[in-house]
Amino acid sequence: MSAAKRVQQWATFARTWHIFDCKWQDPYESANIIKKYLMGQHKPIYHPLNDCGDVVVCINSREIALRGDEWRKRAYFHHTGYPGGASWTLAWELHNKDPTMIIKKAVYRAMKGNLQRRHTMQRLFIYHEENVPEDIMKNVSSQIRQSRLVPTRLDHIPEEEVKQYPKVMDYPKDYVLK
Amino acid sequence: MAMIRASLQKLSRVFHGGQAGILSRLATNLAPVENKSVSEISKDVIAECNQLIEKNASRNFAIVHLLGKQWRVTDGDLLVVEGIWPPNIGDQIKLDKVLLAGTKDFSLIGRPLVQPGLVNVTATIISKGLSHTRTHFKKKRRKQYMRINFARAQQTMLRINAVEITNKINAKASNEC
Amino acid sequence: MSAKNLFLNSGFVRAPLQNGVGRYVCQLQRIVLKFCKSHGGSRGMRDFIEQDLVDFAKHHPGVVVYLKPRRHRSPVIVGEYLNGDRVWMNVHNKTHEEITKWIEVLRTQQGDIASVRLRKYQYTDHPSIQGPWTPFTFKDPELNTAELPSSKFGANNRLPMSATEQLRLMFEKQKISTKTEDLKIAE
Repeated sequence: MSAAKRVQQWATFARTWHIFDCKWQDPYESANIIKKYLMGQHKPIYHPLNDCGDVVVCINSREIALRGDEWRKRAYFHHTGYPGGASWTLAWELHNKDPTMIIKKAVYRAMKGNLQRRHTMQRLFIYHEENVPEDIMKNVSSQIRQSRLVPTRLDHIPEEEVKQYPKVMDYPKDYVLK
Repeated sequence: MAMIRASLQKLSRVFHGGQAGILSRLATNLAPVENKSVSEISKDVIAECNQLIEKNASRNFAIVHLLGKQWRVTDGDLLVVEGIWPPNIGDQIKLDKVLLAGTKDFSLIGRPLVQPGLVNVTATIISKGLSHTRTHFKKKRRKQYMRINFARAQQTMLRINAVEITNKINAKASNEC
Repeated sequence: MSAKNLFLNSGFVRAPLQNGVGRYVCQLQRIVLKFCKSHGGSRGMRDFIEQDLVDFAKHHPGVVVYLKPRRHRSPVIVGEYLNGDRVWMNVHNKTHEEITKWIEVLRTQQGDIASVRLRKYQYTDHPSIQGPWTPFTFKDPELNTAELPSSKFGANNRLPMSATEQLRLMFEKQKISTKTEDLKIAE
């Protein structure tokens, strides 16, 4: 193989590090997006037998958003293997214990249960806040787009801007706001 | 039209300061860098491409639609298509359904086909025979059900002789009046 | 390893001697028809020889035809090809029409193609013309200098415009058009 071809090979199969901001994202929806990048399915060279998966760094996993009342209703099952060892942990409890766990499990479950899955999961880094270790952050060269818009809270918008925002109508003066 | 664009640009400037950046994806990307209208730019591009075609600077390729499949072909390629197909060995055929044609430097993308007469893809049939025997074996356990079928499909091998961009882009085809 | 691979080899699409580039050469060089003059199993073969063989030889001058009568043995067709392949086919009890079809198949194929399972249905010397893909192909060059994570590259940019946005846009447009009208009047 000539030198030029060798370099071409490196370039084509180079691993890219992506960053993904989990803020206000549905973990199960984003798991399907993250999965594609981890397995390399976003690349035109994808083939199940070639090793072209990328690395994904998830940040802000503490600030994920579950739908409806799933925080209260969704239960995570674990069995120790001993009789009576079954346990059910609610999503909010799990999130309090380890804020990276929900997104990790979501990505794990989004992938097919084959031998490759555990190795693919090794390429997923999850951080519960925005601070990422320097040695990991220096590799990141791309960003995965979120699926949902991150809403801005009204009390986080400066008052001037709120006042300038066009109004369709004004409340009458004697109108009582609840 | 120009006024609308100007006002949109103004608008984008108004909004660009804010975090929302509503128009950032609408107007700012469209704002031309130079004072050149879009049509002139595209004229330049077409002239450049025509020059490249005349020079025959690099190898051409095309994506052709053949028997329900899309193939990326270039000069000297071999294709094997399966299924009953009339052409016989030694026949020279022209692949007319060209979905995309390109050279090293530019691509012509059809919507869905490129302009007829623009790209000329010719091929020769070099072999027509039957494939290896494919075994279709079905069995259901504990149900006394077992089927075995054998099938051989017709395989036709094609040699792509030439992929040529024969005409100039946006020029009238030779058979057009 | 499955038993299938023990008997059937796999391979890739190839054509001998650049066949089809510039000129086309029929790959069947010699066909040998072996048959019996008396047995019923060779009936179809005998019909073919009586009715069609002369025409076949006339139409395909590139193919050498041998006839080999053999007493009390089943009829056989053997094709020999330019690349050295030899295809042997038993045509015992085959009718005239069937034999015509099989001989046509032997004539048109380029060798013993049935003995190979094709792994790919296309062969090219030039796998890429505009250059192979790399992770940096079609990437926004701004990413090189961007401070990641940034909302510019992270936010979803494919959502439909919300009603609020549309309303705001209409309002701004209205404001601008009134302004320009004012300007025009002032001029």
